[in-house]
Amino acid sequence: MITRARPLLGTLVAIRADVDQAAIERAFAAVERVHRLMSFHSSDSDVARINREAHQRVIPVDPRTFEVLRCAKQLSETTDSAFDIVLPGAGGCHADLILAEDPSVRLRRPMRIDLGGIAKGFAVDEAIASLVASGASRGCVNAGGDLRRFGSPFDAICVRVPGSYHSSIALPSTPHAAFATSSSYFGSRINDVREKRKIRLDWSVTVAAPTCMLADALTKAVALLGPVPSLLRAFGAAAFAVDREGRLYAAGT
Amino acid sequence: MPAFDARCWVAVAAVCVPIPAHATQYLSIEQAQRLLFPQAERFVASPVRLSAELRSRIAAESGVTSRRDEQPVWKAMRGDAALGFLVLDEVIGKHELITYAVALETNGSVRGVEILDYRESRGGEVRDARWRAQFLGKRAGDTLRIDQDIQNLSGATLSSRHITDGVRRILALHKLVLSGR
Repeated sequence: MITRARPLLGTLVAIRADVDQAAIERAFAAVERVHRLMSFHSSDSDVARINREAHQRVIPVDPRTFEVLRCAKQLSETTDSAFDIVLPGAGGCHADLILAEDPSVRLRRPMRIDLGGIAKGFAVDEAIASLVASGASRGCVNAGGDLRRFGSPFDAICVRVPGSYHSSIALPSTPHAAFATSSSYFGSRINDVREKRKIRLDWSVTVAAPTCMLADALTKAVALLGPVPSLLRAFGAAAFAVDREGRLYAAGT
Repeated sequence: MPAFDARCWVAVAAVCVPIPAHATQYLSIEQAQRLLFPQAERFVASPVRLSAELRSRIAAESGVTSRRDEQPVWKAMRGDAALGFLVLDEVIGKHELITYAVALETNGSVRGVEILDYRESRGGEVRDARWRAQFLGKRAGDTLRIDQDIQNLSGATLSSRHITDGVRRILALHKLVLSGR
């Protein structure tokens, strides 16, 4: 097993697998590619081009960007915008985001999207796919708490107790490959576009899902809506909550 | 704040696992040198002494202050040709101490960044020089506990903002000092 970590996606991305250094490099390259395509800030990303021009003309995008947009749109519809990639302000909503299979994107009106709540999970999925393609039989990719792994035996996934430096809680074993956690551990906020506000969460939500993209996005929905059974079922996910006293709760398991 | 509604959830008996003072070593300095400059035949130590005057010039150039008196730097050499510089640095976050290496081409562009060590504290001790000192000179196989658990910690607090700042500071160091070497 070899383990490497690099600063990417605004966090530290750690990749571990039973492969050679060249395969680790390819997995990091997959993460960097997602960053290049989906960064909100860099002016030549797909996301920046969509925000700048897609209300005036059809913007061809990378198939990976398309895959994330399609998943995001579906999640916005299913969660009634508890999860949403459309930034509040311009009055648009996810229904104004028109996706065509070629793949390309058009916006019905000027508005801005931000894939910050889902692209990190997708980047983890891409790194995992790269490791598998390189012939790894065991691996784990952790992007600051969005993690996915393959190849048993699996160690227990631990979740920090909100507000604690000392304690984490071991989750019961689940068949899911990917996990993501949202909380206001150290002052971060969750964006609620429905109410146009940012909220603080003093408990943590962890979603276990088949892909890290889903786990990443669903944590925000579960934080705002609670563990809606039909939502978890629709995406094959389970949810866990940890409160500040270290009590563990589960849903959908 | 969305209140936690216990009626939606099933309480589960929780196994509380103490978070150890995380210390994960990814690479030794030698490994980082080989990884970032695979063509290099040797690495010539050329540390930069950071006088108060140089520190303030770096701060003016990069907007980031330096805390240390000396910056460990190696020149990557192949024959008589310099391939670039490897600069060792550490950044101190609120809860973590990260040692990392920046590889620069001779023209000052970033060739790569690798994390060597990541340590997460249990509280305020990251800013405590004595706490940090216990890691100095410690490398793979030493008494420092190398912990892998962070691989499985969802909700880790890893932050790279300090590294981004650190790289900016190192680019200023290159412009002011290394470019002349």
